[in-house]
Amino acid sequence: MDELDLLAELRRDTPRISPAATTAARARLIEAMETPERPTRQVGPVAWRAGLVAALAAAIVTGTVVTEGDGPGPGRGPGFTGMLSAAQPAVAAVADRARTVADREPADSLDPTAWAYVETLQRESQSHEMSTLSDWYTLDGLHYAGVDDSGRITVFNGEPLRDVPSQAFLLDAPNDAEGMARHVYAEVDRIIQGERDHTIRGEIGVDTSRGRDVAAFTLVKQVLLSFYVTPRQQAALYGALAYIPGVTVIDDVADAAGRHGQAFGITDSQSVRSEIIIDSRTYRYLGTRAIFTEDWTEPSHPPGIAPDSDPAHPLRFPKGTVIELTAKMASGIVSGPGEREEGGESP
Amino acid sequence: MTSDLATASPAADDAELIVASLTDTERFAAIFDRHAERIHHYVARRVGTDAAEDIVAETFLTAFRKRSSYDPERPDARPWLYGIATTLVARHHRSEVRYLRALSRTGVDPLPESPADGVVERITAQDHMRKLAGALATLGRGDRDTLLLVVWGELTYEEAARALGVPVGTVRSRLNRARRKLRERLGGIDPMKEARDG
Repeated sequence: MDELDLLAELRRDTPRISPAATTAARARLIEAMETPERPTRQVGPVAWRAGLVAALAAAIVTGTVVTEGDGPGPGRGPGFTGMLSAAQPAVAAVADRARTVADREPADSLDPTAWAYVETLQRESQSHEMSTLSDWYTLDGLHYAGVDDSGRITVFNGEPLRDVPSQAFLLDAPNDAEGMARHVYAEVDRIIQGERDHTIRGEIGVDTSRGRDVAAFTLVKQVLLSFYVTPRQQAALYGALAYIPGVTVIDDVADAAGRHGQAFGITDSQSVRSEIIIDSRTYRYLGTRAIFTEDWTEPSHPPGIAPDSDPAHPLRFPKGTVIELTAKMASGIVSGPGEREEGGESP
Repeated sequence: MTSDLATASPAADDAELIVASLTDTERFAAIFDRHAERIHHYVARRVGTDAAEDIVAETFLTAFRKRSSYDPERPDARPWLYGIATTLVARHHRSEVRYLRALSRTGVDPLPESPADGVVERITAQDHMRKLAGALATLGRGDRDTLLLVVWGELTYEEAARALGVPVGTVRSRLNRARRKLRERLGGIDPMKEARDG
């Protein structure tokens, strides 16, 4: 008999659950089953940001199990046809100026099979270490590529309708602000439905737990950060933000590379303001930031939240804590995966 | 796939039931019926039957709400459920350690028990059990969680790793550390001899 056998004996005769307790616990479960469900809340902001990185990794890893020949399947369907909120003038004015600048460029002509390269700088929320992420995608979202430390390139299959977000979101996106807003909301509604019926990937990069409007903002934010976006698409995405209630324009925010600009922001129920930072002069997208606008303490029993922090030591964030800071350092059409020099027309 | 057949079958595995419960929520009740008793026993051994009743209810409510994130490739939901339960036990961390220390000191287990059928006799624990309880109280929470998931929860190392969301190598190193501490505490006795001598 060793220490594990001894341990197996310790308290072995603890009473089994009583029939009454079983009935009570089962009744609580049945009651929950019969209550209409809201989307499951995700964990707090720190884990949420980490989840984002995981989401991209998961998309790449799980992409490998897709059988060859899987096409994009049915399309995203028509844009959102319900009522949009009225555009907010302050946000629309910035978007209009971005549009004027973008219109000086030649019209977009994009080959869906072309490879895009995106390099982002990301500050870790706790250590504040900077990391550079290099990603390649085809514009149709059917392929991703990564380069490991030894320089080896690996190409994976993607699923444009299951990966959230997918580069393919931009492929059939309208170039006008209202059309883009409808496209964004249609995609958010599709994501919410897909989470319910299990048709999109479990770990996703768009948090729908804080409401449809915050999700719409997050989708625009992720698309701008993660993908190759032409100036016209960029202006339309800014314009779409004007139709999202609660979005404001903030002066002077710096991205992870220290570049200053103005920002569009939306504040969620945890008092985290997510921001999309743009160059005040060229309207070029720069990066993202998320910041607590109030002191925040993790609630003790948030229903449905993955209890992955120590309940005896709830998370606390003082006002001004920055939990996400990124910068998009390079982005363009290249000749193939692993290539960093722009091989196509400059965006 | 034979998912329609499988979901209709009473022998459906946990993953099939959980996936089926996404469209038919009532299917999730079978997960409770299958696992509630064992989860309760594991939790009750750590923090007492009263706290365990509440934790079991919470465990299955949490599992139900999070079921869309369940990996359908895992036929056995035990690691997932034990992981949720272990996280909830953490709220009772101080009580757990206090009970273990008291058992170690007095030889009487103060673990709260529901009045079961008949009178629960509180016999004074043998010396090596007292030492064992004392050693358990000194373990770090991660080490104790790992050890008790393996020994009381009867999870494999891989399952314990999944339950705790740590690499399996971490489970091994935690177990090594925990066992070494137990052996050090038990060092003064020969449990083999006591077991033989009864």
